[in-house]
Order: sequence, then structure tokens, then C-alpha cells
Amino acid sequence: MNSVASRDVHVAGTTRLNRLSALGLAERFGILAIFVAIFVAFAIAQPETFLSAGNLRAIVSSQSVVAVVALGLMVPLVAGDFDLSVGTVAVAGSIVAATTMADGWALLPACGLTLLFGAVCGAVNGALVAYGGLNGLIATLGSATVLTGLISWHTHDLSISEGISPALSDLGTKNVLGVPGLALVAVAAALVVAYLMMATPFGRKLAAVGSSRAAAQLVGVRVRRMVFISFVCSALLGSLAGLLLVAQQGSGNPALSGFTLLLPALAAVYLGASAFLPGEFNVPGTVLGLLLVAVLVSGLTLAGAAAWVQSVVQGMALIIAVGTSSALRRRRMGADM
Amino acid sequence: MTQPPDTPALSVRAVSKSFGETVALADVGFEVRQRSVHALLGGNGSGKSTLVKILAGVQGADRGEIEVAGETVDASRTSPEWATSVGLHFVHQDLGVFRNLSVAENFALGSSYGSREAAPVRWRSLHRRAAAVLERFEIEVSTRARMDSVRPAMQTMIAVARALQDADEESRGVLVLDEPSAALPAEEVEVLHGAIRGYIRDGHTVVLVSHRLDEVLAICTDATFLRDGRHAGTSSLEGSDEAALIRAIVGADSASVEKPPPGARPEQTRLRVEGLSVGPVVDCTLAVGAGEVLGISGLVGSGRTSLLQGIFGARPLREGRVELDGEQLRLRGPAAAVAAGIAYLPEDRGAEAAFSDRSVSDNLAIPALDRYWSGLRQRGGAERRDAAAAIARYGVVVAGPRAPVSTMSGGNQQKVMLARWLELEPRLLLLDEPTQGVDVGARHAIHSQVRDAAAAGCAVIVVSSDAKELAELCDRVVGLVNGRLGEELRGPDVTTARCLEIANSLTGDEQEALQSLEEMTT
Repeated sequence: MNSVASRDVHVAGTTRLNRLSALGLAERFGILAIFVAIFVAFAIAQPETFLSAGNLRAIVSSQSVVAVVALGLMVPLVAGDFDLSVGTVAVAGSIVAATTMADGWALLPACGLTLLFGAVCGAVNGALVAYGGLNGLIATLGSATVLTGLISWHTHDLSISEGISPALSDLGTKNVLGVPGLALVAVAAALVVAYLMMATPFGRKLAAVGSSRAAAQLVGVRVRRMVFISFVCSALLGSLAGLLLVAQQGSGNPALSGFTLLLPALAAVYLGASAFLPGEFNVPGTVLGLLLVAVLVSGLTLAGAAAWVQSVVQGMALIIAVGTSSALRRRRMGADM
Repeated sequence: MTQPPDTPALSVRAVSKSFGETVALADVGFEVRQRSVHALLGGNGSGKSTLVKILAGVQGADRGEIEVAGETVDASRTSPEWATSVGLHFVHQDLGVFRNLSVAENFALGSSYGSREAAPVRWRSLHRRAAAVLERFEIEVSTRARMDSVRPAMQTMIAVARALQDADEESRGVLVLDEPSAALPAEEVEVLHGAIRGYIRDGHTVVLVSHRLDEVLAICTDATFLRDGRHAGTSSLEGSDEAALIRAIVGADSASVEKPPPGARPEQTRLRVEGLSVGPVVDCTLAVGAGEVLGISGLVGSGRTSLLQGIFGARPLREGRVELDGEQLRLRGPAAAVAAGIAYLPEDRGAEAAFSDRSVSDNLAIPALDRYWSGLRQRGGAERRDAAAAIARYGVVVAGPRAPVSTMSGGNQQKVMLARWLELEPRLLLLDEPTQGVDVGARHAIHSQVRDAAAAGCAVIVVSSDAKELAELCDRVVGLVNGRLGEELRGPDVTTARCLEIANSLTGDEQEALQSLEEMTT
């Protein structure tokens, strides 16, 4: 080996890393810093309203459903596939739960059936994408549209509020140790997904599939199976979000559009890919991204901003998030070399 | 623009370029004679590609001067427009051709089809002009042919013609070819070399960047060697040989790997393939012993990759059976093959082997993830320790286990791809072009690792279009011609020349068939 060459390249690698670590801190914790800055600014500007326990609980509680949708969205995204149907699966799940309870089912069987319904939706999506070879974006757009139609057919566009188990609606209104019950469920879901993605072979293989499908296949990862499972996971989380939706609203509401849940979730997932592990979708980043947008919207609303501001903020957050995270990803792929 | 014959066609003077603290080029200066074929040689990371980028005006240098056709420019101020204006033309390795478009459209794309964006394309004049250029460069192909139906060497020639099309017939430019033959099979390379000699006859000058030393010796008249960003000499190649080139590139003799003498060890048959038909491969039967390295010498399209992928289960078999240590394999897919102890290193590292955006540690661990599963979580510490150990053992040059693979040179990436498999101690190792586009040092390191694995009892099959590699590395070499196994070489017969020969030799029947096929197509 040529020792001079090795040393030169070695130096090159180290300087690159040093440069990264100076800049890397900003990359890793930039979103967190922005979050803290916004939070502190609103806290100083509106200490009575923004900083009140009630408002903070409202923020956390209102974001719980979207958080679980975002977690669901993230799983196939790690493997490189979009599941646009998660939000709609959540709405459909809420209808399944409300319908069964209205029919006199007990809470647990109703929850079980809702999750089973989610798993079946995911299996259909997963089969279409992994084994049918359809583009995930298009296949799930199609299945979401079909589901929307079925919801309307089943409910005649009327909300279902009889027979909702009080235990479930309590979850939406009561606090445990001062924390809203919904948020606790969302946190539990986040912990499970984080564990799955970061600490198990499943998560690592899924990330390998997202990095290069052909390479993953040729090192012995069962790519199709991984993609299939990722869609099942995403729809399962979607149906869990559906249960939380019933808890939050006290009813199954067919008028809700899955896409109103999906878009903030999408922004959160992409914002998350610009935090903590730059260029990679990750659970802590996703949660932070979600809270960032929620705090911004809440603060602005309390400051008297009109309702349309929410859409503008969310849309811009989505664009900025996708822009930054894809720039980070490009750099990791070495496009700047 | 005729110049006195003794002025250089291209002079590079004291060009320097740094990226941060890394010196890519330090005071590099040399001259290229008019009407010469000048090789630009050096290992990965020697500064070749940086120099080419500066010449092309894609990147500015920090200091230095460049003179082309009597015009001197500050090397920090080169631009693509300047390069075109002084007659510097570039054809890069990937050619930049659009494979799904016609030859004429490929000519036209640079000049937006010769009409305004929204105006209708004037097809007739487009084809006329393309035909004129093709005629000038003596390329016999229809302007209506789709690019991907044109033979590979011809595609390169079309790319060259496109680069030169705007230069009027009088001006004599400098043509820089960056690894033009890297993806070409042997007989295509010959065609390309013929074309290069033609450009010289027409009065052009060619600068050739290449890893193929046989090619350099065959067509280049002079060579400039770069080593670690420094100019390590420019000399005439008359009377030079491969050993001398390697010495000049590496700076020291690189010994070839040691092979055990033939028949040194009683070999137990490890792999037995019977009647395998997959892709273009028909009825292939072969056996490889434990500790044996078998070479497959075949051209692109001979079915060499299909053969390996068939054994690995990555491609469905039409027929045949594969036995490993006497047990018949059920080839359901790569996952099953990996579980059975088979490893496959694909030819296309970027697309099929590397997880470029992921760390070296990840790249090493992905086939072995289940090993690090403690039942509750992935043991990250053990994984990083193993990665650091592998980096040291395989001589990988990288900042650390967490650096993304995309930051490494090709040779080091390839070492990681091989290390990933060797760490699993496979029973059978399938290598597809293991050292393509890799510098001499990394190539030697990879060969030693493969021999070591064989010494430890692994059976190895190597597919390579580099006959020299097969001769150096393999105990036994079989030719693969048009999907059929051909002649077999053993022991002292395993030479570069014989390896090349058996990849090209056709049986009488096949020659006849091929001839009639050609008659039908013309």
C-alpha cells in the first residue's frame, strides 16, 4: 500500500468530519433551537394564555392523533415508500370503532376489531406495492379514495356518537398525572416505533431497503416482505390514530378528511428528518417537528392571527422541511463531492 | 489555426488545488505533444479527476496556468465556454448519451433541436446534419437508430463525434477521454482504439484517462503520472511495459498475490452446478473445490453475471441444480443463499452493493444484523468494535466507522463491500468484476483478501473481463462464450493471453450462426 496516499486520504476524512461536527451541531439541533426560541418568545409575549397549563395540554392533546398518523407515515417512508392512506385509515378506523360500539360491542373487542381492520388495510396496500409492483404514492392514493367512498356509504355521512365507551372518551378528556391521556398513548406508540426502528434488525433492514433496494436484495434482505410489513405497520398505527380520534371527538365523524390529518403529519416527518439524525427519518425528530408547527400555530392564534394562518404555516413548514431534508440526504449520498 | 509542430497542444503549468486542508493537486505541470495520445495515469485519489474537471472548466484551480492552442488562461478562470472556444473537448465515462433517443436526437439535444423551444422540430434537417457529422467521423450507423440499439463502442464514438461536431474541420482540438473503455467488452475496445488512431490521423490530440494498462500500452504514445496530487513524471511510452507503468503509478513494485502450487491440497468438492440454464447461460455444468479460485472468462453479454446470479438465487433458473457440500440448494432468493453461506459481490457497486448514504459500520453490518440481535436490542457496541476491527484488517482508508461510504474512494468502498462478506466466512464467494475501476493498490489488497479466504477453505468464483486479473488470481479458468462454457485452463496454462483467448473463442457452429445473423441484420 502507498502510505503517503493513505495518510492524505485519512487527513481528508478527518477534516471533513471536523467540518461536519462544527456544522453538524447546527444540523442536529437546529430545529430544537428554533423550537425553543419560538416557545420562549411566545411564553414571554403571552405568559397568561400561551404558557397556561390548559393551553399546553391542549397543544399536546390536539397533536396526539396527528403524531400517531405521522409515526405510521414514517415507517414505509424509511423504506422509501409513501403511504398516503394513513390519515384516511385513521378516519375509517374511527368509524369502525364507533359503529361497533354503537352496536353494543364492549370497548376491548371494538378496539381489537379496529386494529384488525387497520392490519387488513395495510395488507392490501402492502400487497399492491410490494408484490404488485405499484407505485406506493398512487396505490395508497387509490386505496384512500376507495376508503373515503366506503366510509360515506356506510355512515350516510352521519356522525356516530351513541354507545361510545366512557372509558374511551375519558381518555380524550382526562389527564393522568397532569398529562392528557391521549398524549400518553401517543408517547407509548412513539417509544414502540422508535425501538422498532433503531434497536431491532427490522428497523435497520428497513433503512437498508430505503438506502438501496437492489443492494439490500443482494445482501439477503427480503425486500418485498419488508415493504409489505412496513405498510401493515403504517395502517396499524393509522387505526390506532382512529381510536384516539374517537376518544378525542367522542364520536366517529365521517366528515373528517384523512388528508387534513396527513398533511401536518407529512410536514412533521420531513421536519424530523432535518433534526437529530440529519437526512434520516427518525422518531424524536418527527415528534419535535410536530410540536414545532403546533406551538407556532397555537402562539399565532392566541396572538390573534386569523384561521387561515394555520394552513399557510403548515404548508410552508412542509415545503421547508422537504427542502432541507432532501438537501441533507443528497449530501449524505455524496452528491457534493 | 495551424501552429508550429513543436508547440505543445496542451500545457499545464504549476496547477494547484486544495479542498479545505486536503491537497488534491500540488504544482502539477506537464506538456502534451501535438498529435499524441497522452495517457493521464494515477491511482484513485491521485488528482486525475480534479485535473480533468479543471480542464473542462467545471472546477477552478487555486493557482496555475493552462495553455491550449497558444492561448494561456489562468487555471482558476477556466470555464466550459473557454474549453470549447480553445478546442478542448471532453467525453466522460458515462458518455452523457440518451439511450432512449435516436442518434440524431442525441446530436441535437445540446443545441435544442436547432429550432426554438416551442417551435416544431425540423426533423429532416436534423437527420441531415447528424448524417453529415457521422460521415465525417466515418461512423456507419443510421441517424434513426435508437441509441441503446447501437453497439457500445459505437456509442462512445458517437459521443466523441458529438463533442467534436461544432469544431470546424480545420481546427484541431484536444480530445479528453475519461475512461472511455471501462464498460466496453474486449472486441469493442479494439473498435474504439481504431477510432482513436483515426482522430490522431486527422490531426487531433487525445488525452486518455484509463485504468487499463494494456490499453495504455496499446494506443498511447506518452504518459503523465500523478501520485498523491503531485506530478510524478511524464515520459514517452516507447519500450515501456506493464510492470514499469505499475511502478510509475504506485511508486514501488506491487507484488502479485501468491497462489498455492496446483494440486497442493486435496480438494473436496464444495460447489457442484449441473445443467444450469439461466438468462443467456445454457446447460452449464461445473464444480469448484474448497479452497479453489475458479475464474470465468467471458465478454459482456456472455452470461457471466447471469451465471453468478443464478447460483445466488437472484435470477430464476430455467433448469439445473446447484449443490453445496453435497446438499442440493433450493434457490428461493438471495436471502436463502446468504443463509446457506453464499456471498455475491455484484459488478455495479454504486447501484447494487453499496448503501452510499449509510456509514461504513452499517454497510458492514447489514448482512449480519441478526448476529448482533441480543433478543432485546441490537448490540451497537459490538457492531462498532467489529467495524473498527474490519477497517483495520482490510486496510480500509476512512475517517471512522461512522463516515458515510459516499465519502470514500472507489477502491476503499470495494474493500468494504468485500469485507462485509468475508466477515461472514462464506462457504462460497461469487465475485463479479471485483476490481473494476479500482486503483492498483486496492486491487492488490482485494486479491490478497480473496486468496486468504480461499486458503481458509472458501470456494471462489471470479468473473472478470480483465484477463490479467484472472491470470493473477485464479487456480483454474473456464471460458464462457455466448452462454456456453468453453475451454478450461489449469496450472501453467492460466496466463493473461490464454484467458483473453478463451473468452473470445467460438466453436465452428457458433461462428457460422453468428455470421448468418450478421448477414441478416445488414
